[in-house]
Amino acid sequence: MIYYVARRLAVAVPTLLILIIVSYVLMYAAPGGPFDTERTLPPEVMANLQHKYGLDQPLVVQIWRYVVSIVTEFDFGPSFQYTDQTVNDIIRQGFPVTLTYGAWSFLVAVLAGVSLGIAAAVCHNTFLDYLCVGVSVGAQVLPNFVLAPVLTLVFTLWLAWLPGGGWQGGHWPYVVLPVIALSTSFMASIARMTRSSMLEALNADFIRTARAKGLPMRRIVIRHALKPAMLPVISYLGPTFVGMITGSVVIDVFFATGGIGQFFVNSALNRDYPVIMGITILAGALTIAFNLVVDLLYAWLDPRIRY
Amino acid sequence: MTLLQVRDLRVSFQTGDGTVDAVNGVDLAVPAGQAIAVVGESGSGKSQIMLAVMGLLARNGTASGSIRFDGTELLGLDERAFNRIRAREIAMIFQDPMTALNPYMRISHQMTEVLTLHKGMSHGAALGEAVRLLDAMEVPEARTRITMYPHEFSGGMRQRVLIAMALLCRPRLLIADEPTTALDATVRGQIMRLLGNVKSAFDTAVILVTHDAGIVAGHCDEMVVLYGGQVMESGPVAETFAAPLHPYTRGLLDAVPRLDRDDERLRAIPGDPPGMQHLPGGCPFAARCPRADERCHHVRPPGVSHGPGRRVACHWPLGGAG
Repeated sequence: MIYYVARRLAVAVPTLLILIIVSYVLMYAAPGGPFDTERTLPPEVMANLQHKYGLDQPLVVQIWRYVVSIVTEFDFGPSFQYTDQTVNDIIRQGFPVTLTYGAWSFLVAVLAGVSLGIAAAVCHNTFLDYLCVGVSVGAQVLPNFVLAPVLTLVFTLWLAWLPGGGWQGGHWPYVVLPVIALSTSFMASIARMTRSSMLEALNADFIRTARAKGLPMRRIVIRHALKPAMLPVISYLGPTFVGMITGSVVIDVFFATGGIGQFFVNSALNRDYPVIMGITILAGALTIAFNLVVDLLYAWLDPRIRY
Repeated sequence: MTLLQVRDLRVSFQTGDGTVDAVNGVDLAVPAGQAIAVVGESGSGKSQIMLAVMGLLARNGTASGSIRFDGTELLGLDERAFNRIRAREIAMIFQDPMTALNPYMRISHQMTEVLTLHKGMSHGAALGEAVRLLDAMEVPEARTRITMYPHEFSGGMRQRVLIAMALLCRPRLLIADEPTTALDATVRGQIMRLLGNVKSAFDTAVILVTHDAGIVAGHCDEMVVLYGGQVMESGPVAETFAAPLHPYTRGLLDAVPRLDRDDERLRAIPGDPPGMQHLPGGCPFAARCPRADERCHHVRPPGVSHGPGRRVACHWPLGGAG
């Protein structure tokens, strides 16, 4: 087990390296540059800027320098756009924000989605089932850039219960609307997955055995069917969790939360190479980590899986 | 004393293609402490009868008629009441031991939950009782193996575990639905011997559901032959084997491969079982029966008494009026 984790972590290093190289090359290949503005800069100024940030070097040298500074100093470089900030500063400010509303959204999406899915499966083909399916289909097709304005309209402008934006260090009223807006569609996907995998689990032969043992339905669902029903859902939750805690540009822009989702999109538009790279690496590392977590959870849930 | 009395049981399923009548008026009686065999081909409705007895029919299935267990009518019983009968009074083991145990739970947990729930036993006492039953079913090293997961057991061992699990509450009736079909031929004999012992060692009546008439002899007292969801013939095993009354029973017994016959060929019954959606109006076996005449195709033969303890549903029974 420990050996397995160690091996997976060892494989993560070359994976991240490949991620860095590929993203860097793609970014380099994209047209435009960080200092292209509407007003053309004098050639000398441009050359100076390029030289200052090492952009006049060959691609291989640039990547080498970048990787070395990450490995030796954990320095992801300066931002080209926000000249007084480094990438480390931006992530340090923005990531706690997205982590907060992302993790809450994840929790809400999982709890509500799984409960809804189980309820629908247990009451298969009844009114409750159709209601759950209807709600989750509705929630799934509702994009968050529509949901977010509607939420602000209702809860901020009409009811004046909650602020329509800002962050205030994550004070709870500022977190609620971003969490609802982000979690709704994920909740719907989780509910639908849970429903179908629970239906499948409840059709298994061993559930019939459990019923023949005279166990009450509640106990059968919780003790016998939940584990197999959750396995497919869990493999979806790993990447989903990463997607949620690395932020959503819609949430960040609409609620002005200052999370990294917004920085990420801006950096791509502005060719702010170090910020693009920094956030890409963050998301990549988290993806690797949570895929490992998912695999370990699998082994914990299914005794037939051993590493 | 009759423990289980099934009268005019009908089971039908609503499917996308219409109503399927799986069981069409079956009578069945199981005396306490006796072993009866329910024999029939796939699709003869034998499993659906047992699922109806356990209250475990699929959601689209409905049963009518009467199923009385020790005086209690089981049809129409609600889930809560049924859960007091299942495992405590009537236990059931299923065809495929490879899938009948929960792969995500230890054997110990799957067994003890029956006792802690129905008997209110402590976990420790329940574990001891579970080990005792595994020992009785000749599971080697039961004390240590009980903490393992199902995938660490072979098919034959899993079926032993399932039998032990079914007997935990000392039910008065054990229903074994094709308990050896999914097992290797070498293991079948061992499982049948254990099931045979159950009747005497646990004072439990046994219903053995099987399509293999060959395993009935020597293990059961009575047998019931089903075809097309109807009882073709019933009676004591020895007499039925010696002189079957129904042409179908004869075909079924002839189809059992035997070593004491100078016959290299497998004697199959020609034709296929009828589709249960369009059952013929007459005897379900008429289309395949060598003795059938016009009447058999149109008039369903009633079950009539034919000698002590024997009944047959046939217009032209063997060795009798025909």
